[in-house]
Amino acid sequence: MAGIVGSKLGMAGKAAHRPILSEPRWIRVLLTTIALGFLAFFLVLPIAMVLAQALKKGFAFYLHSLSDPDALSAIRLTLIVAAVSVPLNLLFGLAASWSITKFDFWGKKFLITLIDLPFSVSPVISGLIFVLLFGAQGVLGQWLGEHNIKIIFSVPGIILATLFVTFPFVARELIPLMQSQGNEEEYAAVTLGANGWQTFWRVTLPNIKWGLLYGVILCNARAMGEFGAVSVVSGHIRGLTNTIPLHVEILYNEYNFTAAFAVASILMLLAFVTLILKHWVEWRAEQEATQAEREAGVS
Amino acid sequence: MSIEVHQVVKKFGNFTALKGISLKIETGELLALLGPSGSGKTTLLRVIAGLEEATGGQVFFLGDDVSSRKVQDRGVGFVFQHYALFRHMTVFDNIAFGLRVRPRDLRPSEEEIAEKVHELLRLVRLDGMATRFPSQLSGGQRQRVALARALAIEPKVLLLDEPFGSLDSKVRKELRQWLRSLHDRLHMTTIFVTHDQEEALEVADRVVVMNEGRIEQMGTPDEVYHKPVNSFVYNFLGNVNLFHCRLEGGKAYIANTPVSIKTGVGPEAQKAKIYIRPHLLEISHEKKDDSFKGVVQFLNSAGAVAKVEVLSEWGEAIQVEVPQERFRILNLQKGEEIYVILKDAKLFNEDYMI
Amino acid sequence: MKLKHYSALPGFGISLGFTLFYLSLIVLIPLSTIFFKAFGLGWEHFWQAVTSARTLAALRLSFSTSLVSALINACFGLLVAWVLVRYEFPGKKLVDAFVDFPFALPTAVAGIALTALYSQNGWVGKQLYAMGIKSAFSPFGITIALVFIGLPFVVRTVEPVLQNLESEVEEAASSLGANRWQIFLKIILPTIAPALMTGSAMAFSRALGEYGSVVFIAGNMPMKTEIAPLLIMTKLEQYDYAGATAIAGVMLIVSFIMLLVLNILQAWSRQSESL
Repeated sequence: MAGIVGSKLGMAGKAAHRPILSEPRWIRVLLTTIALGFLAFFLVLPIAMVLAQALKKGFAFYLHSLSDPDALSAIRLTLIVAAVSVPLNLLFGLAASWSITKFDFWGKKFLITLIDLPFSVSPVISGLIFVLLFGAQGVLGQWLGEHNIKIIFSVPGIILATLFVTFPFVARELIPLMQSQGNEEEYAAVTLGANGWQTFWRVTLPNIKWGLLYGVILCNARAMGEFGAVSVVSGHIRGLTNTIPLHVEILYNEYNFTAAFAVASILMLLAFVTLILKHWVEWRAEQEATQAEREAGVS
Repeated sequence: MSIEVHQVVKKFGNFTALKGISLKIETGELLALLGPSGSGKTTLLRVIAGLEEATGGQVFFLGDDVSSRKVQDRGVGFVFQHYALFRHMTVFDNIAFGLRVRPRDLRPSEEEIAEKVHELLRLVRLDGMATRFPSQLSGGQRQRVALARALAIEPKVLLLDEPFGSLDSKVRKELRQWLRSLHDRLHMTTIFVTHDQEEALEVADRVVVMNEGRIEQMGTPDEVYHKPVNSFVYNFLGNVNLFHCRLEGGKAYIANTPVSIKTGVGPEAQKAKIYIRPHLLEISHEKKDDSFKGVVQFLNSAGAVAKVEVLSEWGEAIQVEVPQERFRILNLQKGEEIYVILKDAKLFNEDYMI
Repeated sequence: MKLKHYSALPGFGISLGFTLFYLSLIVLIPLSTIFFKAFGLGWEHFWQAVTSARTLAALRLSFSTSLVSALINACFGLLVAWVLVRYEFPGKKLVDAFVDFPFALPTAVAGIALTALYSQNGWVGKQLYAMGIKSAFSPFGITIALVFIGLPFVVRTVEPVLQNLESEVEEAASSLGANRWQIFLKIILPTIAPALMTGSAMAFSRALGEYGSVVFIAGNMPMKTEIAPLLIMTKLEQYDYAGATAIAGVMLIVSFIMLLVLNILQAWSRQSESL
């Protein structure tokens, strides 16, 4: 699936590569040093910079920046947007993967490609399309104006843009997972008299729980951190239509650098939590897979 | 419960898997669907179960047309080739599943379910395994759980898809006998699919031999083995030697040697094929009636019978099975010239068969 | 959409129905407005908007920086994947988990952090400016930001392929007299080439449309450091919807081409893996 790399869930249970042959020691050390140096340069430095800048004016200022009313409403809005987008895309992911993996129909491959579309679209364009559709000059602009419904420059617009950019996350985790698990258990369930919901709830869902969680974690991270698309539709109205990333931008553009980095550090914390959760899910899935393999050796 | 399959046709796109199958299965019968891969036997089983929809024809359960009934409503117990156990449920929950998904008014209480599950665990000799997970069981154990799970819903018919296919031969033999004895106890109409002729002949009341979407022969194991109606059935149900022969004047000639087979054919010469099982050939140091000359090529005495490969006088390799006592008496050597006697050959040709 | 053949499993209608409905509502209909609006412009206008000097400069900038960053990520991404799969060192698991950091970090944070680092007074910027390299508000800075966000793509695409390489092939080559470099060049590289290209194409594709990480460090001077996504944004703020749509249309077409290329590359990958 194009756009973003697959999760490590597919690699769960595979034995670690043990090369007998390898390069001479000095080459190994050199390459390792270069690789780690590259990573340190590109990954660690930015993190250090954020922390250094955020705490530049002291811890009290740091906390003050975070408890600023505009900051708080930005946090609230970000949480609301995530709380709406993630469940909706989760529902979509489940419906899409069920229809794609349990049945055979024309245009399946095309459908999968369509689901991947949002990944290949630039964030700015992701916001632009909703402006074109719902904005004052847009296709539905007049109708919305007559009925006094505000979508662009208001929360619904932000939610729509976020739905678009986080659209594929859950589906693209579930589809390969469910494909590799096959349909045998579901067939067994229906021969035993289960209806659709019972089959899905009791048989399918427990089997996909790690993939589901993984997709939700990624979906949430993107929903909370999205910048470009939300920037286009939001209107940047302080206290009303600013998410945390937009608030960071505003502070930065006002040369309020320390406050900007302070708020940014919340997002960085979110990134760390996402990485930890992601790693934990991969670890649990790996555990289950190797345990099943080990016990299967009984037969 | 009796089952009738009437002119069932099943097409997958351009490929016709079942070309008009008709058969009747009596209540309480243990029937084997036997055939090579691609013969359509699994497809037929799935059509009976309702997992596939027939392109044409009907399926009747006890006289009722169930062709358009959903699989959930057919009351079949299906055991899948790879068991399809619910990997995230314990053995107990697997077996209880069918009872728990029943609509509220038909659902037994949890105590009743527990009782039933433990009864079934005893039946399949897996008591004490209730809290295990499928990944902790051996292949044979998983198979028995799958069976118990199917039996829990008290199905009217039990359908098994290559039930012993993925097990090693010793376990397979044990489970075969166990299935037979279980059937004798329960008397449930059972259909099982297999490609292993030994299994079908050993276990079933009746065998249906299938090939390329058609039924070649239906009958008791005895009938299909000893009275095959065509060369496919004969060939499939055991090892076979094949000789090309000429029919003339009431006798069959293999390379100018007259063989005593009542052909009932007229005096005109015709070509035909003779099939004979390796154990229906005898080896002798002296020339006898209905025999031909040959040279011993290979000897293998490790097994229930000794196997001898002979190069016939017309240059074909013939497999002969010799009982161990006779083998010891014969004291054959490689390269020795001997006579091979035909004891009971079957003759098939395009037009008719004996 | 009709089922190819009967399925005993329930729920086809409702699941596919909801899927198509939601897909159309959230993705297809909104995306189509670009094309309708762009067509509505008429060819003359469209062409004018797309080929204006400013637009061409922005497109050229976006393409060149994305390409360079993708190449850098191809080299170093391969190196990182190699080290992570084949070598052992303390803290390897941590480093491996950390490679995903650019994925997880919101782009705005990356943007301001990188700008602070590479500006004239920044920790790295100081050194670079001293060497005569303008690292902020220049294509150099843009490329650095794009390397950051593209980093995980190549690593994560190449890692599994390296992991699944059979050591037997290398052992055979070794027994026939090849040295490590030859083995790498003639045996390993061709095997991981599809994955490497796929990862690089992904990084390129992502870099083309990137906004948040780049917009702070770029400086956004028209004709010099204005990337295409920012140009769209600027035109929107000026209510030049036509102009914004035209550029967006071009970028979308490129995105779809990249999507097609990626699908082909991935099919090639799967094929060569199954050999």
